[in-house]
Amino acid sequence: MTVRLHPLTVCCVVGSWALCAMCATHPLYVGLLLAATLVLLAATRALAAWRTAMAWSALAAAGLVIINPLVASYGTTLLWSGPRLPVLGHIAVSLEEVAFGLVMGLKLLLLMSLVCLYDRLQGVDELIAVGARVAPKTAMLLTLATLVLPRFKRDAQEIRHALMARGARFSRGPWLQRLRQAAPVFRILLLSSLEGSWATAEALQARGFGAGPRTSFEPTRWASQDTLVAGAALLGLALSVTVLVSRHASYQFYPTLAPLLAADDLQWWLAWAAGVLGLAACVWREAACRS
Amino acid sequence: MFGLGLMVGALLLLGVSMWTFERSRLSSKEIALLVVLAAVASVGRVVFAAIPSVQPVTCLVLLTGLVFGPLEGLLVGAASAWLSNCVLGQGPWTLWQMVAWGLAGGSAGWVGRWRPASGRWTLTSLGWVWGYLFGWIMNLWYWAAFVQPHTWPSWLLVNAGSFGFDTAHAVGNVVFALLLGGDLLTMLRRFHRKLLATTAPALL
Repeated sequence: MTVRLHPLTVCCVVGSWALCAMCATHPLYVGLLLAATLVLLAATRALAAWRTAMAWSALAAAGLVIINPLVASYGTTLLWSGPRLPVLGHIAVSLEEVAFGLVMGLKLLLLMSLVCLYDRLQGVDELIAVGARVAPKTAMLLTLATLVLPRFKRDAQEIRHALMARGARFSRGPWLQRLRQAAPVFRILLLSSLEGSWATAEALQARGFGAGPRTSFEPTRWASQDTLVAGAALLGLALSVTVLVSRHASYQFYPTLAPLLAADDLQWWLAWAAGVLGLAACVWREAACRS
Repeated sequence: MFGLGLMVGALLLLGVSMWTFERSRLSSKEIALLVVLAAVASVGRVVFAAIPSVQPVTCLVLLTGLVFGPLEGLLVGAASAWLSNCVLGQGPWTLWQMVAWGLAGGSAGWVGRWRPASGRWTLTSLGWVWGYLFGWIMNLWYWAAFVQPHTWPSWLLVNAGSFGFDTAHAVGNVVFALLLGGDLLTMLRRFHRKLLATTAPALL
């Protein structure tokens, strides 16, 4: 299933959420954004791709839970007192430092999830088509490279087969020997591709490259629904910025953990949660309509 | 906020490079050559994806910079990262890979201008250095955005976690440079000369 929103709308939605995610430290704030992102990933049926991406991301997030307590010494609720190590000094792990590491890990997972969502909501071609208006040469370079990439992959495979027919063994022997066997593949592929690049250059000139102002074609048009979703994203961003500036999105980890929700913060949280949920509902509706 | 600042800096660097490329007067031949180099580097990365951190893309990006110049090296580096991630999977790392490989190509370009006759050993040295620098650039955002406090011990600890991968990357670059560097340099220099050749006036 491909979801077709205008590239600028997708940039508004994902960009505003990523910006908020980068600035926030409050566990509830980060948790709510992650939950809303997961809902949208489920709505766009991207959870399978998300799970694959999370395999590596979970390791990086786990690293944060380990590194932060090892290097910080601000917490007061001591969980473990370790030895004195060179460079790091005395190792003391506190509850506050572990909590900080967990929230940072959650933030990293949120950013990874947002990239998965972006990948799902917008294809490479749409992104390049929009980019072509601002940077036509860069867009052309990327488009051409995207086009030749599958051909080069196939060529590499054919060269491998040809070399194997002549006795090369790519999967046997020590690492260095295998690399030595594989090196000619790279050399032959590069040589034949470079020779082919003159044909690409001639094709470019035959199509009038550099002859003057160029025309452009936009495969995705801006629709009224895009105004709705982009408007909701910007409204959500404005609300989030208000929450961030008023320091309601900040959380005090040290010296002891502050309460998660103070009574005078409730109205801020309700307004912000309504904004996030409204935006998620808009994107969900569009995703369902256009898929 | 430090992490956000770094991200904005990285985007600005890529934006300025793109703007310079847009304003440059590269011919269709040069652009086609850059397309091929970026695509071959990406295929190389995809083919070697099974061996962690061993990436021929670094070697090819450095070669491009050495032979063609800083802008070309930077463009091929940044484009290769983005293209190969279209196959391997995009993530927040894409931006930093674009910056790291772009800077690798750019720095090789400056070395190439400084010493135009640079050969296999220069490539090998650059490959070794960029094996580690690449890892450190990738770690910089992780450290700035998610680790506190920002002290030397915390920076060292983050880099200690990736030391094995960075060393594998550096060793891989050295092996690629020693195995292929000489041949590829000759090949690319020949194509560079062909690129600079102009049509002779017709003989009457």
